[in-house]
Amino acid sequence: MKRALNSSSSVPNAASDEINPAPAVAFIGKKVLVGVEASDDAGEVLEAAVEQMANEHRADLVIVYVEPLLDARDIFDPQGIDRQADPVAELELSFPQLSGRIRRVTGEPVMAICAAAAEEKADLILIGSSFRRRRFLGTSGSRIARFASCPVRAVDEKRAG
Amino acid sequence: MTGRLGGPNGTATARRTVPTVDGPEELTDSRLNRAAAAGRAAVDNLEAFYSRPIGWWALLVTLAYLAYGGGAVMFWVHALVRGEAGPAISDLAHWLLDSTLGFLALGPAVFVLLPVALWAVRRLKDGRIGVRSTGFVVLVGTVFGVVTIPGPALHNLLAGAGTPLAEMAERILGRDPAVAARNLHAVDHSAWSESVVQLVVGVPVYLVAAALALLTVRRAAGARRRRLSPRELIGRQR
Repeated sequence: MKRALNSSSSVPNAASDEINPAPAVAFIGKKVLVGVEASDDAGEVLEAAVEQMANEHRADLVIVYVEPLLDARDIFDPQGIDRQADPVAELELSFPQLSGRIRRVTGEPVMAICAAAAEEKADLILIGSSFRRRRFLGTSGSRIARFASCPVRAVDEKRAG
Repeated sequence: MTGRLGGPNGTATARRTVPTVDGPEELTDSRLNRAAAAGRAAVDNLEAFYSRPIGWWALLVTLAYLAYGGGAVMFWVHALVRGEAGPAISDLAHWLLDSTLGFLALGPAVFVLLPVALWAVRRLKDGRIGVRSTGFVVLVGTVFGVVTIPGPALHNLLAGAGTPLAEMAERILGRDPAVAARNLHAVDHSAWSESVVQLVVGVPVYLVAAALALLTVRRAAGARRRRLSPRELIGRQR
């Protein structure tokens, strides 16, 4: 399941339009915030990125799991929510050696991740490819890049595969 | 969260603190900020509701039940029981035409109504699913019934017997002699009377339709969950 982080792509950012693949040493001691959306289908890619960032790049990780404001399953499939595995617990189980923290927040993903990055004084935000999907008002990834106070990198599921 | 999040040129802020109101300019700024934040939150909620396929399926199924199921009952009440005149086309074609128009015209309203109803029932103190489901059905059915109050009056105005639209429908779909004969004995009802009937009969009908739609989506979601393997389930629910 390991995939090279170098195969990820960057979301244009005001501070740096393109993040060049950085050498491992660049992230030592840096704080990397990994944004995971409840509807994120790039979980495996993110897991690989987390593993590489934590184990190989030795970055200080903060994983932010964003639960949506409104979930249609609340009313249309409540049993589906009850039976859903807790993704945060899964991440903890997948990476018992993880030297980072996992934060669970509820809210609009873009602002929740940007706020967490600002609070944590993150050096880099890592997001999954689902953030690059176009929604009503543009992609979440481009909006994160617009509002974030640090560079943003989107892990591309297809290119990483 | 009130902290400033530096954006391009250092001007973008995520959510700004509402400033103290001292003068007209700041008042305007404050109101604009609040309005912008409220609008943004509304769009965020819509996005969140429709971020999963089940949100879209719920919309389609609910609209179908309301427009075609509820539409069938209301057609029976208005055209057959009350004998209101309409285009001289077959009853089946008439119901399909009216229901399809209702499906399309009321789609945007239901698109907004479902997330708003969910947002409202999530604020109920009683978090039991039965209570929330009842509240959801009552909200959706009642609001839909109220929204369709002008429906019969508009229908008669635009597509009642003798109107250009009715004649066009007869040309395209074919004239039904039995319905044409029935139209000769059609009863004229006031717009007020038709609106009252639409409300009194429509709300209970749409309550049932909304409940059936909710149960249908739940059953379909349950059946789909049972078909998926545990691994697929975890992957899709993430």
